[in-house]
Amino acid sequence: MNLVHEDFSVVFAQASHTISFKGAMRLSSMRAYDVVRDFLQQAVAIVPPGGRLVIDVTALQFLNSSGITTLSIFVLAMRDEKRCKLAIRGSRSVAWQYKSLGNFKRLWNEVDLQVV
Amino acid sequence: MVVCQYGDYDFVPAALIPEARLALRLNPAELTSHWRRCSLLSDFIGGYVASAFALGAKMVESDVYNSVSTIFQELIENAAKFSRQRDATIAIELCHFDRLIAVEIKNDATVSMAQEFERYIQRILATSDLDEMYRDILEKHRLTDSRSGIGLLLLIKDYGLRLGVRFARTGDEGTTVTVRAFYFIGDE
Repeated sequence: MNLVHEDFSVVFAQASHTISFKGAMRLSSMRAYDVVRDFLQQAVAIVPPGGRLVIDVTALQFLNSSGITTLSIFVLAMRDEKRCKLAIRGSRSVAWQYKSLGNFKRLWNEVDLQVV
Repeated sequence: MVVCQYGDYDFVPAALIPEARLALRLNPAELTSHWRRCSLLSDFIGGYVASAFALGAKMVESDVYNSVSTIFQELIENAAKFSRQRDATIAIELCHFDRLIAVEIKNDATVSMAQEFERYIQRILATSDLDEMYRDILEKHRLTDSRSGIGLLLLIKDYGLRLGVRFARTGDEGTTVTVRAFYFIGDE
């Protein structure tokens, strides 16, 4: 399953339950991010109850605040549903990631966050 | 004219001479009709600043490039979204003083747009707990279909950005909004 945009791509690897983002995601509004939200929802629906979804943003060079909001709301929904676990992977060599990824853990303390 | 000013608007003395000064003027409709221009401008500004600190391939991989581009992206998105679309101007000035980057973005907003933005600015500059405000906005956002509303908040919280905003109401037809953002490189 994948989503390809002129500036970014999102791929869901079903075997590892990993969603990988690549490129620069800076869409204009929350509504423009509906396509990403729908992709996330479709992917998490495939993960069996009690399983773990991995969101890997290490190759995502930029993400604007509408994108952070979209991911944040997805994290909150997973927290409330309690259906499966969530891991987020980031890179210390990309400034926005080491500065802002910690916010997801503030929304849900059980997020397994690794920024290396 | 009624003027209201908030935050660190006069953080840099006007007499201070920058190492680099860059100015741009554009129409908000140029951005809203071709949104990728925001990213193009942001990456250009990021590169313009980062070139003073790193060269070649290392420049676009540097923290300075990524941080300045990210900061500028939020500021220009904000100006585009909170501007009147016709007969309006966005004026941008970037100044580089050693480790300090100062960005000024001036735009023309309708009175109601400016009032909405002014309430937001008052709120983020008054809060004593930005993390709690971030959580609060997102929990409420799930129930509404509104703007994301966390852009400037994240810049202050995660990048240590200092912010000042000036609202100058020009009669009943509009308000000139000037945002000044100050970022210390390597000081987050």
